[in-house]
Amino acid sequence: MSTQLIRLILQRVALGVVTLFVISILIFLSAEILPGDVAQTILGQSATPENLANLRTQLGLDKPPLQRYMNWLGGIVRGDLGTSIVNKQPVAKLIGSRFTNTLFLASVSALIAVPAAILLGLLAVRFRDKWPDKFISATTLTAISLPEFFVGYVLILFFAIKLPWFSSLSTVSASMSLGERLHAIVLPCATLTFVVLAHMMRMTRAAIIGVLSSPYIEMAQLKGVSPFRVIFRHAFPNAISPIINVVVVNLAYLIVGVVVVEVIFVYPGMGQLFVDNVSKRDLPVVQACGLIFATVFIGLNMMADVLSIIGNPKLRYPK
Amino acid sequence: MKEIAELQAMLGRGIINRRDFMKQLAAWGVAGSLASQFLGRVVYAQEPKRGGHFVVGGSGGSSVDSFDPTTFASFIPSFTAKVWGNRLINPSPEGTIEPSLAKEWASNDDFSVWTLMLRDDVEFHNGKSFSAADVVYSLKRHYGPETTSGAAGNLSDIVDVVAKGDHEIEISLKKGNIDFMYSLSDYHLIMQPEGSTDDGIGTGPFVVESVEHGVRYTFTRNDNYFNAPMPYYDSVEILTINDTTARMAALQTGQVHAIERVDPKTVDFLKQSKNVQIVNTASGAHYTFPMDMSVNPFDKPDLVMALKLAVPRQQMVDQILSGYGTLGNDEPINSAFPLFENKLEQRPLDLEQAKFLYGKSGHSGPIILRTSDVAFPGAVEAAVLFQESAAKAGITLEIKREPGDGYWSDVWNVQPFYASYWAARTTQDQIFSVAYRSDADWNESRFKSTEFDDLMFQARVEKDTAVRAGIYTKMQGLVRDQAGVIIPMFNDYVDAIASSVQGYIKNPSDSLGGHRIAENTWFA
Repeated sequence: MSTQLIRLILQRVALGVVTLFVISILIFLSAEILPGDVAQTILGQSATPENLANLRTQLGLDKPPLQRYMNWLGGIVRGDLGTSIVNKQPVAKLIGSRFTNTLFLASVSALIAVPAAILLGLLAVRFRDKWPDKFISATTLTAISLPEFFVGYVLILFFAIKLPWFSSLSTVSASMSLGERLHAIVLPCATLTFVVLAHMMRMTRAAIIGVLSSPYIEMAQLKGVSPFRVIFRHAFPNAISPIINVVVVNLAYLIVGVVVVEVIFVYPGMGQLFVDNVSKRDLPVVQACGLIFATVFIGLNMMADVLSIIGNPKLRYPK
Repeated sequence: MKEIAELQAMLGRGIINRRDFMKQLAAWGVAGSLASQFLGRVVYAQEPKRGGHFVVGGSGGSSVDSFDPTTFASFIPSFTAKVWGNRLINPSPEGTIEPSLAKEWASNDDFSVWTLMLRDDVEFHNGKSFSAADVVYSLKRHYGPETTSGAAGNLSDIVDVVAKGDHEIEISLKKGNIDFMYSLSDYHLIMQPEGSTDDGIGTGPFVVESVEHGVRYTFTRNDNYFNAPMPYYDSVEILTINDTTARMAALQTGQVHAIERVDPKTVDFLKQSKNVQIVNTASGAHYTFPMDMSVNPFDKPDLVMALKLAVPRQQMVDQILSGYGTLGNDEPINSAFPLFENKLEQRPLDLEQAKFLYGKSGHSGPIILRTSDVAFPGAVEAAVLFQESAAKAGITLEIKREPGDGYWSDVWNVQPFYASYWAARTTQDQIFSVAYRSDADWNESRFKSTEFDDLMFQARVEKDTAVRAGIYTKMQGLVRDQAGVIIPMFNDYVDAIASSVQGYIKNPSDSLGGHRIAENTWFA
């Protein structure tokens, strides 16, 4: 590995940190401009004016925003995410198990969806414009066109109510074994797989088809290499960059964009935590979630860049 | 016949009583010896049985919930509190109150000083015995200038709570209130051991085992429960299932045994499931469209009345509540309240008169009605029904759909005309003093009437119940005709339980048997 590559990676990391800092400002500002008063939202319809005034002082909302931002950022740098203003628990503790759950669901879905998508993509190229290609495209595109909640409800209807094979509730808890956990998340996992499959599969297909028109592929074909070998050994490695990018975008989606699936299957993940806390205006938790989501997104994109550079030496020498 | 069989099953399991059974049969035209035959064939639930793991799925739980009773505002925390804790006084199935941790009570002549005798055989889950000091501590968390409790409004008249002995307390009030004991049945007022805030230690039928706010709670049976032989289950689990469809699916697949808040629009689908039973409870909960009478155009009484006459009440009960509710009469009292006299005439849908009054008011141009999904289930659809009906009377309503997020701070009690709801209150006095008294913070329509205020204070110290009932009817009339509030419907609590659950007792104070289903039911 060349020092050039390492320098490039370090550059990306530094850029990522700067981006995160900018995002932290944006997160703080957007939390500030959420409509409604924090105290009023926490106490709900049944709060008296004295209640509200008491709570505002308790929460430190009487201090200026800049001071609150600096306090918050200072805490983050020291590794302290703060304390929930609503139920007084440390934010790190609230987020900890939820984030693990989210990663679990996302990784299982990714382990199924990514290989499946690439394999389907390769198959589609191999039988380009024949019925297997059309069938794969039609079904995956249909699945992506249906909203997640619809796919989820349909799966519940058939595989939990009509055929009691799986559970419609995917509540997982610390006391469950890996097997029980896997069984509990079958339906949400299937829903997510349907949602992300088409995008990755279509990209794989398009990228490889693009490479297939190159002269060296023609050469390989003329030499009598079998069609699948041409695609897998000669075309796929050169098409890997755009595929990695799409895969990573979908991985990021599996982590930060699955609120709807979490709600339908009652899965205790980060998305649900985020929504709960936005609606209760628990700003320390909201800000911490936002920052984690941003880190995941930036981290994955960085990974995509680096992998593309490794996979495609051409990118190492910018013009 | 299917309906009769269902009714028999409900009587057998104690969901309705004999009188309701005969009344319903009579309504279907079945009377005399035939009705008696049906009554004779009812299979009653067997004796309570111990054992089993009971699971409840509810909405309104979130990761920011807490076991601190001063913070309760939604179903999951307040239901959960009745599993680990008790109040001094419980709302009774008849709509009045009954003893719980307080076994008896008495007041002085003008109802301004109340003495409560407490049970002396009760222990908290941590082994400490329950005494007057704990009650003083627990109540003090909910009143006074520093509290953030949702019960503060109800307890605002308390001057002091003092222990008179180990198991006796005395509460003194600023002004006499004959209904004061009802305030103590408020769902926030869970008794905790002195010094406790959010640890979930109480005197309740079950002991907290594991806590994951916004996800699930588990409990084990309190073998030391003072209300023996209850509870019957070995363990209880409470799941947060905020999505209505997910709740219904969980009940159908047997993963939970009881759910609250079934969507009236889909209740018929759930009914087809054989192992599920719908249990709806009439209550004082209602939906409203308040109009701020201090601002234009609602300062014109003719316009306000025109809008009241243009509301399609029956259509709303049929379509928004799917029949699980009753007609509202623009005042907040119905038969779920004690001392209710059914003497006021029901306000009809009268488009002719509405048109006439609207013309008389001299107003022109559209009137903005704000609504949102969070105002009440079906609030957006209800607003559309209202708009269509009003259009027939020549009144243009412009519907503005507001985001649910922030509705209760930016729209409710701020904008002049919007959709809202009130949860059930136990007495006339509570709802009147919280939402209609001239100086009430939540007087949504800015209804100001000294006559009304005087009547309210008069009723509080009136010993003759017939006279008090009369006063309340008069107050209802004042709200109905003078306040700027449209109350088109009272909504039932629509819950569903698995058929295996026995001994369910309806309670108008809250959903799922006044939140006490885990305590008093058992598995067949």
